[in-house]
Amino acid sequence: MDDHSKEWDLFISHASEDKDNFVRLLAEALRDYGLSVWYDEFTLTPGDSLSRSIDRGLANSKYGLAIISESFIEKPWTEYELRGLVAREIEEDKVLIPVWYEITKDKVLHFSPPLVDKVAIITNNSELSDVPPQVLKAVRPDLYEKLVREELIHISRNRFPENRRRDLFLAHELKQLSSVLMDRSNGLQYMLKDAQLGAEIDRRANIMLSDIFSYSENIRGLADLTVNGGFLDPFSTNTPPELLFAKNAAQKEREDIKLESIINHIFRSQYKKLREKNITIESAKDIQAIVINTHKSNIAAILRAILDNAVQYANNNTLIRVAHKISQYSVTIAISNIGQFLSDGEEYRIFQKGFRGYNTMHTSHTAQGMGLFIVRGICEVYGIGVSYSAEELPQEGICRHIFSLSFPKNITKIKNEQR
Amino acid sequence: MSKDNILLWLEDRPETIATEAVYAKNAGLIIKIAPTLIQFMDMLEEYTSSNTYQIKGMVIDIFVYRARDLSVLNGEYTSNQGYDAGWLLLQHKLSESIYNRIPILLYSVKELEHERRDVIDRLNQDRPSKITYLEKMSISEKFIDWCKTISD
Repeated sequence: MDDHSKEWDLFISHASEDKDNFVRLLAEALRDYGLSVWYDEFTLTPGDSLSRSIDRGLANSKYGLAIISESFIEKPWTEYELRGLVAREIEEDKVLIPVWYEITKDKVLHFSPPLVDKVAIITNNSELSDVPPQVLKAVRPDLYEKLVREELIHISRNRFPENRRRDLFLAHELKQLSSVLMDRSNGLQYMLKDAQLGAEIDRRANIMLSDIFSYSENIRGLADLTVNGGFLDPFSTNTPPELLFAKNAAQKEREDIKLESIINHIFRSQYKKLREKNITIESAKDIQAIVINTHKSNIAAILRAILDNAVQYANNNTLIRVAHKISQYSVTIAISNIGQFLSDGEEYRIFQKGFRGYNTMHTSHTAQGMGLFIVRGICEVYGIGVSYSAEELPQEGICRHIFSLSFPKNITKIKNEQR
Repeated sequence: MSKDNILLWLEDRPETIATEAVYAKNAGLIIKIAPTLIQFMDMLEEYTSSNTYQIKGMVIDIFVYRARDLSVLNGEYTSNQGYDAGWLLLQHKLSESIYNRIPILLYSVKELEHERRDVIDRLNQDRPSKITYLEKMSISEKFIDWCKTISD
């Protein structure tokens, strides 16, 4: 008998004691997924011969799901069903799917030694709601994949109620990425024409090659999502800032945070390095009046990344300055240090995912180019504007790097309204 | 005393305009990038009243990814409208007469609908400095020409 002739996808063998707490919910969930399920409450009608009906269910189901519980192993009836399923399994491969429902391995071993060796779905350490998807995946992998895909689309549509937005975003990203890729390829090709690769060209070529690699990966990822019809916004929901935000937002209420105390705390933790490099900190006195109402851990993460960078890339015997400015719509904190000049174009790419500038490549082997990318992500969640600029200084190769954080007025308080 | 020439740019992903920024720099412009509307408006006010800087042009990205805070526009907007943040900024703030002497370039991957082209035409009738639209695809002669024109 081939699978197409089977009447049901699944036969559920269980003890009636487990119906209310688990089996009925499982059967209903599987039916909702679109599986045809032989479950006594769905299938039997008054007057049916129980034994004949079960025999027919056993024989005409592609898979048998045995809910092995303490009640199950005590029943002669379930043992009969299990024997039927095991017999089928001998004839046809992979028919029996055991689910261990709140039962220990020793008890299963005592009941049926061969059953212990079978790969089972075990409920002891997981949520019961995890069981139906696992069963679906084993019985109808095609349906499972389709539902997962649909769920992803559903999630993305919820996030972007108008599908047009999703299409626009995809078009936007693909156009941008491919345009940058083309530009970089042309640049590289042009430079490689020169057989005498000096150190500078070699460095630039490496940066471009690294760009080509990462952009190609991004394009491929987006293209795959488009082709599959799924859309899991890889640039937002999967990024660490979103996850961090979701985690912190769920755990804590927003609170009033004194910026000065966080900044001082971070600098104190960098005391050793500041001393080694003989760096002086100059912090505007008025910063003590600035209070931000938000999630403390996220704001601390932003400031730590920027201040740590400022210390790491500052030249010896220089000054790190923390200043602020109150404007009509925002309160801006500017953190500046003095360090090596960035190469042309690098200043615009500083928040890009995976970007490692010339300075980074020569001073750190561990930097992944994620710190400032995460900073931008967190800032976007709160509507904080983060930007970078550089000011030339008289000394060659040296500049002032300035990171600005513009906190919207609606999350900012100025203590005592000192303006 | 001559003032330094500023190109004020609303762009949430500066890495995508790195090459354009180099062209603009070569045309003698200092690029100031604002990633949010709030930062843009604060910068606009700061440089408009500055004695050392002069805004020679503004580049507006229409499609500002993930812009949520549209409070500077003083209207009832949903966070979804952040996707149109640049356009909303143009309509509700930059069309005010105090800014009509600053050339504006709408620079976006988003295709400009006919209705919006009509709005630009209408706004341009009353503006000494024009609003231009360019599609953000790759470096074009048009972009370089625009930079040269405003920096002259």
